[in-house]
Order: sequence, then C-alpha cells, then structure tokens
Amino acid sequence: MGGSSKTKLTERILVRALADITLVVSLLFAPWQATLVLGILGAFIFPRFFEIIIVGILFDLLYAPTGVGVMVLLGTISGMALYGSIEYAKTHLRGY
Amino acid sequence: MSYRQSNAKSRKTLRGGAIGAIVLALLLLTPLWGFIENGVQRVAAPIWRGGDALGARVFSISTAFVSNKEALVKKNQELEEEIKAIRLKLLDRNLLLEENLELQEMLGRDVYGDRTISARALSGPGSSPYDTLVIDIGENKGVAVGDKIFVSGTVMAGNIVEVFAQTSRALLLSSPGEEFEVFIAGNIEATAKGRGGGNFTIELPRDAEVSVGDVVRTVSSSIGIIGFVEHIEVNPSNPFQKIFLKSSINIFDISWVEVLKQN
Repeated sequence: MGGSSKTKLTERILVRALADITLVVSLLFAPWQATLVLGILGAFIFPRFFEIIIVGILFDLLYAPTGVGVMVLLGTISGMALYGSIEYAKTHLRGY
Repeated sequence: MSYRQSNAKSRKTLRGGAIGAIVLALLLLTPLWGFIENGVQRVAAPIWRGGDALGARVFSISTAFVSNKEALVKKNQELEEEIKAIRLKLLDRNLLLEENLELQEMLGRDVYGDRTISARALSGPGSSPYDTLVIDIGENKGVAVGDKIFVSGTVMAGNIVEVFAQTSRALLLSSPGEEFEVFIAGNIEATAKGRGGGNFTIELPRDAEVSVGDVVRTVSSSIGIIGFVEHIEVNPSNPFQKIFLKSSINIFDISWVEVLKQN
C-alpha cells in the first residue's frame, strides 16, 4: 500500500519534472507562442504550477530589452497574471 | 467544493499574488535583476550553442531517412542552379559595394574597416515578442551599448542595448515603438517607426514622390540599408501618405550578424 503511493508520488514528480524541462527547452528554442500555450496547459494540469511565473521571469531575463531605459517585463507580469487567474478559475471549475 | 473551501483557495491565490508582487518589486528596486540577468545569460549561451548543433545534426539525419536518392539528386541539381544564379547576383552586388566604398573613401568618409566583428545569433525574434536578438559575443570581444548590428554586410538590423560577459542583446530597428531617421527615395529624409517582425512605417506629405520598391537607408550609417517600400497608402482626406516598409532580410532567419563598433 505504502509502496504503491510512493511509486505514484515518484511518477507524479517525474511527470512534472518532464513538463518543466519541456517548458524551459521551449523557452530557449521554440516560438514564444508555444511556450505560452505549454505554460497555460501546465497550469491547468498541475496543482500550483508556479513554474509559469519562473518561466515568465526567465523570459524577461533572456529576451527583454531592459537596457533601453523603460523596464519591459511582459513575461514576468504575464506569468503572474496567468498563474493568478488560472488558479482562481480552477476554484470555480468542476474537476479541480 | 464548499463555499468555505473555495474562499480559502481564493485567499491563498491572493496571498500568492501579494508575495509575487513583493518579489517583483524587490527584483526591480535592487541591482539583483542585472546580477541574475548576467548569470542566466551565462548559463543559456552554451545551451543555445549546443541546441543549434544538435538541431542541425537531427535535421541532417532525418533528411537522410526521409528523402530518397532520386529526390536528393534532383534537389541537389536545383540547388546548384540556384547557387550559380545567386553567385552572379552577388558578384554584381560586390562590385557595387566596392565602388560605393571607394567613392566614400574618396569623399573622406569613414569606411568600416576592422571595426566590424562577426557574431552568431543565439536567439532571434521568433523566441520573443520584443524583437530582440541575442548574439554570442559580449564584453569578452569589446562589444558596447550603442554598437550597430548589420546582416549580410549592408542591411542594418538593430542596435546593441545590453552587454553581458559573453553575450549581448540587440534591439531590432523594427521593434514596436523604435524610431529612427532614414533616407527614402534617394534623399528624402523621414522618420521610420518599427511595427515588429521586420516591418516599418513612414509618414510623408502626399506630394513626396515615393514608389513601391524604393530602397530605404539609414541616416546614421553611410551604407546601412533598412529595406524597401512595400506598400503606399494614400487617403484623399489625409495630407500625409503612409508608407509601409519591409526589411530586406528575413529577421526570423538571422543566424550570423556583424557588429559595427562605434569606437
């Protein structure tokens, strides 16, 4: 019984780790729209998918032209907004 | 789910949002952002380089599996023909460029000489909506903020806006909101505005003689081509004409650039 739940937990961690790696690879190599879709999917599939915020911050650290004077933090703000709104939506949706 | 449970979840979400906002404020108000940015660029650069090499290898293997011999021979012949045609065009272009540089030297203008340095584009505008380009040279090669980015020798693509230890970030001229001075239709001076994705617009009085296909050059650089006129919109009720420009290069396909050092 205990062994089975431990295996399930390990499986869940592995699946989430795989999702995280996919998200980071997509951030580095895929068009930004693909990363956005993957992030939204992850937030709906996994509980408390805060990785979407981290990826948003990484997105700005990698690509945002912060040196031009005005702080452009589209990724960070979008990540936070998506996380908040999807977590909020999940409280009102069946199956969560 | 009960009302109480739902409320507790909402409170948790709000608390998470507040914590996020505090973290964001800390990042923005302290020099922490620049420090982390440098570290992330340092880690990402070798991954980008490795990814490109891996992508090329996977592509060549998959092509070998998918294509049959006959199709490959046919494709090879087509490509050889294409190369011949491009070589001829390039010869013509090189002659013109040489002539241009000679004339500039005669006029006493500064010709780029050894102030340019080649760099590989690690990540292009496809990966971000900001129209930025990450290149594989930085402080290690003396790149500085304000240096200009050229593609194919003559097409000016953008300016360096941030320099890290081993990489630099360039903002493309077509980035939304970017404004710069250009010469259009020979010597009409105008302000071009970036629209994203290698597109620009210019507004000129309706009587200015501009036609589709006219080349647009930068004012700041003597041989910097921006693109060409793609479409002109004239509205009888508007004293201005709106000119839509397209970059001469496909900005989503930039793999090598030249950095022109300012000093």
